[in-house]
This record gives sequence, C-alpha cells and structure tokens, in this order.
Amino acid sequence: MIRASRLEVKSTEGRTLLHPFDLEVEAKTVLGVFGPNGSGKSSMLRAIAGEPGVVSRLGEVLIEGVPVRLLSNARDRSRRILYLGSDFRSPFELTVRDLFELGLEAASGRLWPGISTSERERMSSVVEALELISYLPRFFQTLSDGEKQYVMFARALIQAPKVLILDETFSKLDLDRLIAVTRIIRSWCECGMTFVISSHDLNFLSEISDQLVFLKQGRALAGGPVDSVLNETNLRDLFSKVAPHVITSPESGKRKILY
Amino acid sequence: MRGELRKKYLIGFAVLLVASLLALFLRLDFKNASVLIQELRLPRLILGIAVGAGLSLSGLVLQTVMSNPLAEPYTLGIASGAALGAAVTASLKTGTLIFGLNPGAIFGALAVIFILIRLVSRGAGNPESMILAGVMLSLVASSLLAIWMALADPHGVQSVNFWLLGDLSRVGMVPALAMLGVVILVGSWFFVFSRNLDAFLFGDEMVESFGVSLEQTRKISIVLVSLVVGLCVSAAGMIGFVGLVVPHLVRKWIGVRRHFHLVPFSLIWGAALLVLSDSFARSLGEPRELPVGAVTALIGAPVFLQLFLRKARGGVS
Repeated sequence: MIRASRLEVKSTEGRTLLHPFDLEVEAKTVLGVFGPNGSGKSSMLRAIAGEPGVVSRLGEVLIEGVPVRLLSNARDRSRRILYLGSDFRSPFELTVRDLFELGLEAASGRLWPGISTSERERMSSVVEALELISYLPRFFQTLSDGEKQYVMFARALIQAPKVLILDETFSKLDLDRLIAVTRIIRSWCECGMTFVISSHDLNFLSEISDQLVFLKQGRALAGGPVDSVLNETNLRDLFSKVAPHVITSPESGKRKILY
Repeated sequence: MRGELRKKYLIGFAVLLVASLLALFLRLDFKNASVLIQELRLPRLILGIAVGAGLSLSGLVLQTVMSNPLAEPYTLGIASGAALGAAVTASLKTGTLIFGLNPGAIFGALAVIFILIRLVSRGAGNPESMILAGVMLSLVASSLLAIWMALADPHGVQSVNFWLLGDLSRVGMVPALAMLGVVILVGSWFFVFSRNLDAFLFGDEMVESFGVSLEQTRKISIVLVSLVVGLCVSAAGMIGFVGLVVPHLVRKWIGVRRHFHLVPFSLIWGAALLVLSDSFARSLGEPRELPVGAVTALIGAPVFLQLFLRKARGGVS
C-alpha cells in the first residue's frame, strides 16, 4: 500500500531531519511510529503524505503504486492519503455538523452543495460509533483541545481516505475516547483502510499497531512487528534515563511497558 | 432551511431595489429628470452597485483565505496601495485606461498584498499582527500618495481627498458598466469554486486534507481580489469598511457557512449598503455632498472595534 524508498527530509538550513529511509506498509495495517521529541516522526509522516509543510524531500513515496509527487491534484491525493496533525483552530464560527458536512462537500469537488446518501450513511456510522451525536450542534471553537482532536479524527474517517496518517492526533484524548478510537481504527483497518500513527503513548501504540518503527535522531532504530520491536533493549537505546520493563498483558496478550 | 434562505435572498434583493430607487429618485429635480438620471444618477448607481459588491466580495474572500475575520481591502492596506498605483500611473500619463479604468491600481494592490504576505510569513502571523502590518502599509501608501499628489498633480492636495475618502460621481456609464462586468465575472468564479473557499474555514493546516490546494487557491484568490480592489479604487477612490461589515453581517445574519451562499449574499448586501450610504452622503448635507467613504467608515469602525474586542477577549468571531 505504502512504499517509500530513500526517503529523506532536510530543513531550510540544510539540516537532515530524516536520513534516507525505506519503508513498506501493507494494506489493512496499522503502523505505529515512536521516538523521542525531535526524532523525525512528524517529518517522516508529513513526507509520506506529501504535505506542503515539508521543506525538502528526496526519494520517492508510492501509494498503491502511484508516486505521491505525481498526485499534484490535491483532490486526488486527499482521496488516497490524508494527514492529520494535533493542533486544530478555526477563526470562524462553525458547528461540528458544519465541519463534517462542509468537509465532505469540499472533498467531493461537486459544484452543488449537498452530500450523497452513501456519504451521509458513512457520517452517521462514524457519529454513532464515536458517540458524537450531542456534539453536532456545538461550535467547534468552544470544544476542548482533546474534543477537537476527537472530532477532527471523526471528520477524517468520514472522508474515508485509503491511508490515514495521524501525527500525535490523540495526544490530549481521555481514556474512554482512546478506547473508542482504538476500536474504530481496528475495525476500519479490517475493512481496508491503512493507518500510520505517531504517539508518545507506547501502550496505546502497542494496543493498536501491527507494525512498529522506533526513530532516533532521524534514523530508524528498529522496525517490524510490535513483539519484535517493543523490547527493553530498544527502549534503553531510545531513552537513556529510563529503566523500562516490558510485560505481556494477560488480557490482550499485547506488550505493555512499565517504567 | 431552504424556504428561509429563499426569504433572505428575497429580502436582500428588495433592499437593493429600494436602495437603487432612492439613489435614482431621491431629491430629484423632475424638470431635468431624464438628463439627470441618464447622465449622472444611473452611472453613479451602477458604479455604487459594482464597487459595493466588489469590495464586500473582496473582504469575504480575504477573510477566508487569510483566516482572519478582521481582514478587508482597507484594513490590510490593499486599497491604499491601489490608490497609490492609480494616482502615480494617472499623473505620469503612462497607464493606459481600459474602459476608463486604470490598471495601475491593480499593480498597487498586488504590490501591497505581496509585501503583506512576506511580512506575515516572517512572523506577523496572528490576525492582530496582520492587521497591524496592514495598517502600517496603508499609512505608508497613503502618505506616499499625499506626497506624490502634492508634488506631481496640478490640483495638488485637493484630489487626495478623492482617493482617501472615495467618490462615486467621477466616472461615466462605460467605466461603471465595465466595473460591474468585472465584479460579476470574478463573483461567478468564486461562486463556482466556493467549495475551495469552504476548505479554508478550518484553518490553513487542514486545507489540503480537503483535497484543496492551499497555495494555488490562495494565489488565485489574491490576484482576483487585487484585480477587483484595484479597479474599484481606480473608479471610486478608497471606500473603507464595506468589505468588513458586509461579510460579517452576512455570516451572522444568514447563519450559513457555505461560500455557495456567502458569495451571492455578500454581493447583494455590499451593493445595497454602498448605494444606501451614497444616497445618504449625497442628500444629507445638501447642497454639499458628504464623502461616501466617511459615511461607510462611521458605520464600519464600530463593527471593527466590536470584532476586535471580542477576539481580544478570546471569544469566537
């Protein structure tokens, strides 16, 4: 689904933010990206998505075999791959319903306003699964940061891209919402969507991911299935002041970290 | 919802119609009615409609693509840049007039907006700093205009008033109709691509995720706005705050966020507000005329202050 070869990102001053990097993510997979601050997580995610914020990008990213750089039409790109950050602001007065509906309309590129039946059904199913009905009439600007992240994630799902890139999008979510997000991502993943998620919450990443990449100073320290990457040696390589213990959760069978 | 919107469209058209009738017939000397209407009042009405609609459309688009509810051609200095461009090219006699309109003004408008974007990208990114930078640019352009007029124009400082306070009575039928044509064309463009403007409502970061190209849409919008503002200023001088008040009232009043409706509502209400202000300015101090820009500024400044205070208190605008 996603194939990146010799992907490299440099800043305006020419500093390398991400050293040449190869990556292959199968369809219907959740890839977790983890690393200390400044390790190149956002650079990597933005570069994969072909976001304009990336200063200099070398190498090639293919989504379903099509190079992202050839997707010069923003509409084609957003149907294949959608990038979501963690900080959301709008200077205008908009309700959550406006956000969902206008988002679908803007993304559809149709001339006349309105959304199709299938889009409306998709919107209802996401609103129901994430228990957002009471949020629809509320003004987006009045929501807390965590609620904004939750609502923006819902909006991205409603738009249904093939690959959804979530760059610390869940950094301010409460536990209930984190569980709801985990469930819906796993179920949408089984239905064909691919996710790339960066987070500082390793237990969340371990719960949700099929594959994990550890980044340090712009280089991949380790990558592969969660069980092979999430171990005490790799964690000690990442963080010098932490003495982590990795255990296996008796309920889920997933690896958990204690420190 | 549909019926309610239709009613609001009808009210808009009715207000525009009443404003137009007032502009044509208020305090009309009926002995020379046909000459007065044909030669003076009709071109003035058409120009009022075109400039009012053009300025409020420009304000709406600028607010959206610059993510700043306080933006408009006047507060960002674009109108002053246009006035400077028009005055310089007019007195140098280098600017060719196209249908009586001065394209030099478009370059003035473009120059200011690109300087502003450079300043914004260098750190004046928040809405208040952007307005501050705009006000400074506006002051510089207005001062240069006043100096230029004092040195280069035989009528000197008097004609500065035309540029700074606006006047709808200076052009004839052909420029007025040309102006209206340009506003209708640009308005249609923004109407057709209103989805792209909608994507800007959620902040710059999100625009591309809606499948809309941030850079391309912003550049095209800015060039089109500069075209409209430049021509409006070259025909009627600087008329402030129409671009701020109308989109704000329309967003609040119709309660619909789609540019599919915001664009036509802004055009209709911008035209109505300026035509009404002009009739008011013309007839209130008879036999003297009040400058129309002063009347719109008196209406607009309180709205600007209210928006500014609300933003400063951290509320939504």
